[in-house]
Amino acid sequence: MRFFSAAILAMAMLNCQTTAKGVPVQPSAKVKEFLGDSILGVLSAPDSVTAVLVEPRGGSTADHMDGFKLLSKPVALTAEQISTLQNAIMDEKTYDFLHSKRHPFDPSVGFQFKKGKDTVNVLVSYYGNLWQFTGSGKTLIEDNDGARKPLLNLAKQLFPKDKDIQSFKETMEGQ
Amino acid sequence: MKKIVALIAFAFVCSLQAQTLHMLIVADTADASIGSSTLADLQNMQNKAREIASNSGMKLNMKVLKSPEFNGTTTLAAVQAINPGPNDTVFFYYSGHGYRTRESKTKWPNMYVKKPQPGLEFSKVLEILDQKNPRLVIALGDLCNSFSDQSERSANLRAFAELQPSNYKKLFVEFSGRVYASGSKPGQYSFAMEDGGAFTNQWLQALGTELRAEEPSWKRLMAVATKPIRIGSPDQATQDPIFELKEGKQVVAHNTVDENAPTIQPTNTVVQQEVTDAEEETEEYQEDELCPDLAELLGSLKQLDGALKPGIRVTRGDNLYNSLDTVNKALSSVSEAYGDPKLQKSVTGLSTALEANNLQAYKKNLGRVIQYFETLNQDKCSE
Repeated sequence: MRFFSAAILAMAMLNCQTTAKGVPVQPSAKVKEFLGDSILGVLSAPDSVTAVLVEPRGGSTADHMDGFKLLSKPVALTAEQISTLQNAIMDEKTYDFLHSKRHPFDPSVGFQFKKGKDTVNVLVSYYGNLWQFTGSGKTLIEDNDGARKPLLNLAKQLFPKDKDIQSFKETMEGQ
Repeated sequence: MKKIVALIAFAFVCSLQAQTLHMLIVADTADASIGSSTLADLQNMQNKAREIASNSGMKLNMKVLKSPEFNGTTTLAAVQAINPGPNDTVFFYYSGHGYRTRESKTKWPNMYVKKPQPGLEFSKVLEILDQKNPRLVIALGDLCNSFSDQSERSANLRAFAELQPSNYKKLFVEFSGRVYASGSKPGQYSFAMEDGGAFTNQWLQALGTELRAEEPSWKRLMAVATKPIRIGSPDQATQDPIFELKEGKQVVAHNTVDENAPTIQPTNTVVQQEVTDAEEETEEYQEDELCPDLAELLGSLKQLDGALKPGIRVTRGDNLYNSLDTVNKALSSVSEAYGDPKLQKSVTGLSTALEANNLQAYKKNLGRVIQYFETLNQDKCSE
């Protein structure tokens, strides 16, 4: 049972991936339910997206993103980088809606999506593979293990001189 | 003489009755992501403490520290305030977030307490409790043990067996020693389920089994409670709890990282073996499931064959390569299970072709694999 199921699953994965090749990933019902229409509206068609380094331990000061002290000036994302980020956000495989980790939320990078007057902040923790979305009066936190590689590559591109960002590995130690 | 014996027996019974179970439960119940799970843990452990006390004859002195009072200062104060007698049992339980750093000197994680500093070392709690020198210390933590810094910046329940009331006494009154555990090994996450922490639930189940055993054993209880827990999270298939157990009132060496610490590795090895056996049992193929699965597999393989049209290219590392590699691995498992050299040869051919980025050769071998399963389908599944 297990062997055949694994093979069938692999086939299903292949079919999904070839179908989606070159086409932006659309959010599944679960992702829509998690983020909600108002946050998704900003994330899917922003006017601009910027990234900042933040202090994982918090340290809220005048300059902070959702309570996490800013450690850099904002860096604007290119269209391709925005697309990478959007694909990770929209892809259900990024998330793990079944489990919650007992790891504190300790983000290193914050992305700010702006659309008109609306703003959505996305804080990303590379220690715990977690991210937090804040917008429309809501704060949502979820796992993002499935997108560690593209999210880490993106952060490394955006902050090439930051030692901490550059020292993160694709695979988590101990797992 | 008989009177003397009776007096000694009476004194012994009195001393047992005078023993106290000092239970301290600390839970981060207000956390947005795991609060409901830790609340379930808190309730489960409260109930268990009452059950242990009433069945073992110990007096229960329980303190619960939860949100909003929960923080590092109050947790430390509550630990320090425990005042056990030499024959008492102290049970510390924490359910909440946890982490470790590069500077962590022990294998135990830090509890994520926000005041006065982010972390309170689990090993610090063990040290304080150990110094109080009660007969038995049990300290369990259901928390992550994953890294949160960079180097440079700063058992199956015997459902039909009866609970043995005497087992509560054997485990919690008559045993002398130290029982320490946390939900995951260094570097790992611990996971919160809706009905409580994955480790807490496994520990409670293991306790339930020992309470029904003819001869309860802490060693067996902890070995079962710390078996790898299958999580199936994308990047962490299992959660592997850790523990230390010492019989007698000797100080347990818990202040060094794994390698040199006198942990119960042989027991863990045995546990690992038990898990392997269990896995083998679940992998036995059910004959009545063969035909529908075989039909589905054949359908998928044919679909794949049809999708690999001439002109498509594959390169190591691209999406198609990774997907076909996944297919190959799955088919390898199937061929290994069947042990048929003919199938194995074709599956090996798939891998070789993929490594050479040769889709034409891949399709050729795929055709052989399809043919093999079609024959199998005819043999096993035709009326």
